[in-house]
Amino acid sequence: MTAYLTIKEAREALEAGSITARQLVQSHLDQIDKVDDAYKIVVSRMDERALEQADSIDARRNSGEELGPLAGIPFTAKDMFLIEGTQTTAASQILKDFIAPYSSTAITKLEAAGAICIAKVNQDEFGHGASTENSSFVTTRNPHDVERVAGGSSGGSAAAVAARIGIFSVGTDTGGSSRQPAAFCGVVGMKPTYGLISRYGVIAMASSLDTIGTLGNSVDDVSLVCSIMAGQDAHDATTIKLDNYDFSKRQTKPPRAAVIKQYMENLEPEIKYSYEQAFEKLRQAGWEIGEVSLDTVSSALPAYYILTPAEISSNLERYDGIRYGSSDDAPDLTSVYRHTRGKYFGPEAIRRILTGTYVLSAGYYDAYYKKAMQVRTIVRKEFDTAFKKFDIIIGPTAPTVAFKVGENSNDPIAMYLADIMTVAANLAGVPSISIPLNGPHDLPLGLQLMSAQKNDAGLFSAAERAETDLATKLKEITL
Amino acid sequence: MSSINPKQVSRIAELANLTIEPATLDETTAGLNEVLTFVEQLQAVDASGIEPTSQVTGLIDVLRDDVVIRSPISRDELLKRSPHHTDGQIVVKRVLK
Repeated sequence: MTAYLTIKEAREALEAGSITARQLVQSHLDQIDKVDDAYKIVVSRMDERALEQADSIDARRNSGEELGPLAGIPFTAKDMFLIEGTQTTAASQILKDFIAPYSSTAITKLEAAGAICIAKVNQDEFGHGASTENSSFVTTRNPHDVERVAGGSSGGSAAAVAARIGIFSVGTDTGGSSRQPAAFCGVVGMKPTYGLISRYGVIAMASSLDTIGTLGNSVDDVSLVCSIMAGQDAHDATTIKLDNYDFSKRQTKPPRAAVIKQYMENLEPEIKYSYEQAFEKLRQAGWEIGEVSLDTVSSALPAYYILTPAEISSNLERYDGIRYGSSDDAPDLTSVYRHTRGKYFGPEAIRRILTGTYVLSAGYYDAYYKKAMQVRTIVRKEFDTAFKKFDIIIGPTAPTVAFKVGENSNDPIAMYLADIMTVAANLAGVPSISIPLNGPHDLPLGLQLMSAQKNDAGLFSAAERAETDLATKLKEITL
Repeated sequence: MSSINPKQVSRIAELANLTIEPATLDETTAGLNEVLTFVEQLQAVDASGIEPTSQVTGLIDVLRDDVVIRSPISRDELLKRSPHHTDGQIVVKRVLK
């Protein structure tokens, strides 16, 4: 069993010399051996590379060199992140043998801070899904209950953090893909303001919504990792400039908070009860919690399922069997494209490509794509109005606890509904975080907090206060 | 508006450069119709006169200096990833007859 739950604990042990980076990394690699048959989290291991990096950190520490804030900390990355010289698949057959020729900016920054990637982890193919059941390799199991899904699409990342494979994980979040699995697996998951973290070298899903997510065991850990990855990047023109990338400052007063009215409607009574208890606990700790109505928020999900497939159909055009990736032989060039794509893309990727191609086609563009972009404007404005009155708006991360493996896999709409409370933050580009709560049947739920664009620091401050005030103790996982 | 038939699905698949196995065409069509029925509810939202949003943080025309930047990745390194390549070129099926 790996001994250190948080970056802070591990860093103190490394600095005190009670453990070496090699020992720490090895203990997390051993954890893969121990638990991965049951949870099916890891897509590819990076033992040799990770141990070399650990030895280098140990040598530098011994020579008295000043080290980065993540020196020797093992982590995992969703298989969307390119790491030079290693396999990167997006959990798709079309990239199953792809070796990344360069590293993503996010990984480069984490490695410069001393963090050590030990494994690439499972996900829904190209990020299309909410359970990892759309991975073309394997379905990841929830460490709290192996009959249940880990959530998705960054389900491998959330399960890895819960199962102590790596101390944190990086994922992506286009419509909830870091927050929803974090909620299902009882860990912290965050999506930053759109453009805060460079997406260079991270496989694209829907570019106007894609963000880099961070998953960990505490708000403090997640805010540290996020601050290290944040910043403008010449390789990603959508990155934004902030005055301050240090997210460690905490405000002294509780934030002005409001519960999203629409998110509390139609919840199962026992789920609703869990959230109402959490709000009550926060009030007792001094929070003023009002209510806010976001009238168009229920239209966020259908708008998302027009915009996202449209952008996916464009982003997945590049997989043509010619320049890289899997390829199928055929008598002529067009047939090479068609057979390759038809054979190696999974059913959900194909469904989204077809949906996207349809909604963008002449005659349907105005009714679908343009309408969805207009609804996006309305959703954004409702968030802008809410954040004039409140610092933080809160609600559930997902309407249910983790569902059973297979429960939604034949029903695309049921699967899409798992994102119903997370997509709005992506449409509006605002930062959002999920922190663990106790739910029914000893399963975790997530409490979602959102703040205005570029107020990621304020969001972390509020989330850490909520984490402290709620003092959630989940049922311990038997690993 | 939201109903789509197998023939249309085949046409969309052609546009998207995808082969759909005939055996799965009906299932694919049904799945697509479910999605289109689901997103149909957007038609109930009055968005007349609303500007569409395609970018959320307000960045416009992000430019860089007009200078050549050499890729740190070599041509050989990139070509290695192509399934068919020779003499520094990617090989494709004949396009001109």
